[in-house]
Amino acid sequence: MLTIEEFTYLIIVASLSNNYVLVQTLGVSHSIRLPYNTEVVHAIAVVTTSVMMISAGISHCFETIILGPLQLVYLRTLSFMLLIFTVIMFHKYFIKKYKVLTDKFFNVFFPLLFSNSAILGIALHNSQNVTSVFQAMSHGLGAGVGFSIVLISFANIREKITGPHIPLHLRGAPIALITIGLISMAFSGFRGIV
Amino acid sequence: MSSLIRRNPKRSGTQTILLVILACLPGFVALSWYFGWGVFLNVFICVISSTIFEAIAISFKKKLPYYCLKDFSTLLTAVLIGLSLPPLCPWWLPIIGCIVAILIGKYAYGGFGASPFNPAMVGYVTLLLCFPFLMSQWVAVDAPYSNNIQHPTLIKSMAIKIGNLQQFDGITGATPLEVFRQNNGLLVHQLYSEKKIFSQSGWAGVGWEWVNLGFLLGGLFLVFSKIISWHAPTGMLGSITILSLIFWDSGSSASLGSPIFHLFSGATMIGAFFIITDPASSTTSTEGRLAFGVLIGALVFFLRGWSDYPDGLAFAVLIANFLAPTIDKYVVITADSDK
Repeated sequence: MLTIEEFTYLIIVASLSNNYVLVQTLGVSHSIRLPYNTEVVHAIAVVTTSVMMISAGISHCFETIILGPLQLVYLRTLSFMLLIFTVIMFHKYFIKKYKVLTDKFFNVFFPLLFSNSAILGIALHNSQNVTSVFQAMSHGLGAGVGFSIVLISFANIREKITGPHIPLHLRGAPIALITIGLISMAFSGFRGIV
Repeated sequence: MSSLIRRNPKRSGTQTILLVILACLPGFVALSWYFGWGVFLNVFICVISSTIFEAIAISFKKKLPYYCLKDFSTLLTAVLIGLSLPPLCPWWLPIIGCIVAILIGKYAYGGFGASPFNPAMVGYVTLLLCFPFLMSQWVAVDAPYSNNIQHPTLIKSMAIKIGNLQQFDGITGATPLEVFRQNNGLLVHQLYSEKKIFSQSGWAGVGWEWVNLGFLLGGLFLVFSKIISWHAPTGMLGSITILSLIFWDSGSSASLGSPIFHLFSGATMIGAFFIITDPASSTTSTEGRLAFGVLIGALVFFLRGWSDYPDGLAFAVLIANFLAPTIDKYVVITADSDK
């Protein structure tokens, strides 16, 4: 089982000191190129966190129960991608059934989830570093929290870094990447915190 | 900046910034008294180089370089970088800091008043990440008293800055925060009696207590003349005090230091009154500023206690700058809806 110390440790590591977007540079494009309104950003944050947590748990189970005993570990990346795809499709099904999001955002929103490299990154990272499914899921939850912090804060800081005051050649993606680089430098202050 | 001008209709923005620079003076004098001529040289190099880089950046915008000198915001950035660097660091360190601070921290975002990050802290964090060894070489303030070694003179300080620090062995030493960070197994009162940096001081480490008192004096002047609002400093100092009380642990070996130690060591006071009150990069609302200060205080305390960096103020400021628009959005909306 999972102790409260382990849980706290995994959450802090995955969300702050080892943040998937800022420190491991996975899923950067997803956190910086979302020009949507606040509600959609919140929805993306919640759904991504949920996908990260569930797919981390399922992929860990799949590896320890099927891939490991059958000595098929070299199929890890491919099978994890299929598992993540399935998890995302389940999310899509439930969201559609209960009409949480409007259709307008639906079509642009899910392709973004499929291509989020942080989700696969967590599953692959887990296969070498955790020992139980609870650890895997709390690591996924922490990574989702870290991703959501960056996503929501970046959506709010966006107003400050768009507009005519930014030099012409830096408008758009360059200034967003400079900003995420500076934030990444700031987050490296968390190094060694656990 | 606009919020400052609104608060003080009689004063222009330029006068405000000049007064802020003037308020750094007590802290600057205390730093120079304890750490020698290096502080003055650092500030001097920073002011010259940042003015040059500002002129270069302005020339890209097809304006006359005179505009860069009209508001003194660059001067303030340069002074803050110069005051926060180790006094006897090589001469090129402040210059690199100023390049990053002015060109990336300030002009990539469109100049004065538009940057979401504090330019001085952008430069400082870059130096801290790129040159961790050089940035930890603080002059040992306890040495001149115990071994009758005098501070290097102006000429000798210049020689150290141009040449090599290594040949002047024994000049550098650990800061109080580093001493606390490297403490293993000593109770706090043992630490205070064994280490000269505490035993020869009043309450928070030789030199550092007076440096912080100097900045506190300047900061109180700014608050009482209504140049900065009291919210952010109060939030930061309050949260540091409360957190260090919680983790004081009655002076055991796992204690993280008393409130008075945390308030008067490292960069607490210069951070609380001069760095986090930068209006462009902090939150816009007053309730938000209180939350901003509390967040920075908490981050500073946790980074001091557990991260690899003994004083994480620069990191805390940048993280809080990043979260400032979010604070504005959520904290302020809830505060308004309560009314």
